[in-house]
Amino acid sequence: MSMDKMKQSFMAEAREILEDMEHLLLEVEKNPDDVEAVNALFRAVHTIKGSSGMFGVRHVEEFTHVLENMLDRVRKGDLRINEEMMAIMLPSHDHMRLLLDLHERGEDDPLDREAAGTGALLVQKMKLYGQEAGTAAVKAEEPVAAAPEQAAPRADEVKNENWHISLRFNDRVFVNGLDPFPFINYLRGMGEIVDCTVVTDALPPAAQFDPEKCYLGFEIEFRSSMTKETIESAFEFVKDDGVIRIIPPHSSIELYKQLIQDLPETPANIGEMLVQSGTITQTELLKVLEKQKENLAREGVEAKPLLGQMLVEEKIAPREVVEAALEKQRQIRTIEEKNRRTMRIDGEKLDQLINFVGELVSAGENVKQLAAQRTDAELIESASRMSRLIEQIRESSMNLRMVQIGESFRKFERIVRDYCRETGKEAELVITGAETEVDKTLIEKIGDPLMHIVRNALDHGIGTPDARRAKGKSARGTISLNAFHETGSIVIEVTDDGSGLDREKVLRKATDLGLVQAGQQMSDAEILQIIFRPGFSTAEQVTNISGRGVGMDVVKRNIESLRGVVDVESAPGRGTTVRIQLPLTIAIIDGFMVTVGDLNYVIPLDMVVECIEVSREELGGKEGGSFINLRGSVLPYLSMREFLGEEGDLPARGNIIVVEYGRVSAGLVVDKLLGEFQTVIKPMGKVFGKLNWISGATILGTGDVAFILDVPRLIMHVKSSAEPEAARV
Amino acid sequence: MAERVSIKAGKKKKNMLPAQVIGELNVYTAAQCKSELLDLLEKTGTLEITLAGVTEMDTAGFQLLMMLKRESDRAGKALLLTAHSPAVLRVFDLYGAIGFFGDKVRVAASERGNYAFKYGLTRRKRT
Repeated sequence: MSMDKMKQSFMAEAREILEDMEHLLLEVEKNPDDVEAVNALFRAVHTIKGSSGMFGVRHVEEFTHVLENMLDRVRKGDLRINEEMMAIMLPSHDHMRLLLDLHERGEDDPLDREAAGTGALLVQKMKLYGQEAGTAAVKAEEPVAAAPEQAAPRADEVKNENWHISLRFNDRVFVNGLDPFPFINYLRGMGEIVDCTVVTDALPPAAQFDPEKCYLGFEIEFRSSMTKETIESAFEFVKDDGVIRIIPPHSSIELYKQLIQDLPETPANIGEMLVQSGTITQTELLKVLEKQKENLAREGVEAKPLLGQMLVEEKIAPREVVEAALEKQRQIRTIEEKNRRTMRIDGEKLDQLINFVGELVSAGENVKQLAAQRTDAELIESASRMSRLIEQIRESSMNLRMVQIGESFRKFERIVRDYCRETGKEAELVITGAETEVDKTLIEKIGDPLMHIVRNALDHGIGTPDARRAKGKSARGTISLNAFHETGSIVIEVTDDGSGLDREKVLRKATDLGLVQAGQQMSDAEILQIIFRPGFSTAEQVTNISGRGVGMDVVKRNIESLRGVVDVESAPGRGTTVRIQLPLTIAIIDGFMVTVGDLNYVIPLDMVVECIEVSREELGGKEGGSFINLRGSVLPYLSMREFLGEEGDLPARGNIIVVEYGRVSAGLVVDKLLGEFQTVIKPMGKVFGKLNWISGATILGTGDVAFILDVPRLIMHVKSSAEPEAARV
Repeated sequence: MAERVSIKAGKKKKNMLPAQVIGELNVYTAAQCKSELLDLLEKTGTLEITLAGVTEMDTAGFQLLMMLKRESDRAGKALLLTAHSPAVLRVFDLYGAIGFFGDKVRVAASERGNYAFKYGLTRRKRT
């Protein structure tokens, strides 16, 4: 995998982890004693810190480090999650997200003043917070930790209580695109680097110095409570590009002897360096050098000791081994669980697959049509078996795009919480149907409108605790988000148990704003529809949440652009429900094909109510044109021939297709009905941007193009041209 | 494409040549920096390099400075590094190299927290 790709997946994963983190924070806030959640939170933060260090996202790494320290204290029980901490940690989460965004846009170096300021303030808060509560606990801890070590002194072990890490990279490490710096820097997140010495013995004179080769080695003294495994994992990415030697604290001096012997530099040099950095004492060094001489004298030339032998020499090995094994097991288990559940696929690959499936559907339709023309029974049977399979492939490939909607609901927890903090209202978010699956693109597009609706529910629906109590309700309001499938579509409901929409008020306000005429009689449903009109707002005050009058109309437009419907139900005193209904997928639809003139058009099948055959006379005979009597009710219609400017011979009989959208019906007069047709929607190029009566095109099995009619817009057109006439009548 | 790095030399005064590195000091620019900085060192007894304009530094860039320092020692010359930028300081800090170079380092009090400055501060033997 190239570095770029790795970074991309790092970004995507980091964002996901941030989402989890927000969720966990809110969990922990509700339940500070949830050890599992606290641990998960720590792991989330730790992972982000680690990976951002690997990828050189310095600001994130540095900032997260401080947060991690704080969480570590929580994990150890030194600190307890409380309101004050939440006031630091939630903004910290937001700050991390910001830093990541800035980094992705390449705007984090240098950080702009605002971001740097926020970060510094948070870091300061965290540090101060940690100190006040933390120092006492840390002090108490130290002697305990030191005690067992003093209890078991051994003659041949070094005094050093730090890890010693010795790094030698091969000279191609830079050329391979790796820089030791982030890996060493990463250690800072796992403990304290007590000393780092750069070994320059291999550095050649200027003439032979190749600036793209790595000549440096590093000897690091590292104080940490991590396991050897974990420390080793910091160098996972460079382990093939160098030699990494790690010696645990209080190891046998033999190990140092071995190290000095193995390192490419001269023993005297490296020994001196180790003494200088405090790894071993002068006496210990002398012992090493003496032993080495003895060994050399006794054994002459001897093979290097095997790794197993070194492990035995390593006094600390048994504990290390056990811990490391446990840790590894735990890691593997979580990784396996994740692997079984999900697989990351490039969105483009998926789009490509779906594109091909779309073509396959078209081709399959073609074969089926041809087979039908040949009247070859066997061929027809094969063709229809293939069609069935194609249908299944289509369904399962569309399913690949399906994700559970719950993930996107979770972010509303934060919105509700923050809103309540700001306003003193109390509300709880209840999510049902989180496992309902929806097209991923749809989820992305539905996010903003949904946010708006939730905010509206909070702002207009849920009253203050006092107001609620006065009405005999519990002080704490409930907002519920509910998702479920309903005949080929997904329904998302946002319900509040507030006071409901005040129809009087809506009507009064709408009259004031000139949206309706005074004295106009309107049904309840019509009044409720007013809230979707542009410029409408009932809020007495404009808050930063809602009330600016740009809102529900935008929501409605957005949802309609996804071929969805939004409506509202409200019971006075009991609450309001906003219901969004969306098609399950937006790439392939069941269509109904018709012809007008020589061209084919497709109407989304779920908007077709019925088809009626009519004679020309029946249509033309009406005065003023565009209405027919459909079983006693008035149906406005649009002659597609006229609308599309088609000329040529009129067929003797026309067909009216009755379409309905958003509870408005209209008739479309077309020449011929061709029947149901699986339609793969291809978006139209920009050139056709102004043609707002088509929503796309599709390619037929024969290679011909059919246009997909934008029914909602056509209905609007019919209505608007019909209304003045209606007024006359 | 804009140059990743530019090295500008000032006027030599009393055998001291001031220079500044502006841009990246990393594996991409190491070759260019090596030849240009060695040329400058050749011309003078004391080379003073201002590092305030260094926007990025990695181990390769760091290694180059180490080589330069040792080269100047060997030739009996002096290499002074001044006005270390944060990009330089974070590397020097982690690698404990401040003592190695032996130059004075100034850090604003507000940025002091960005660095550890715990080790490698005293002068060390350069081999």
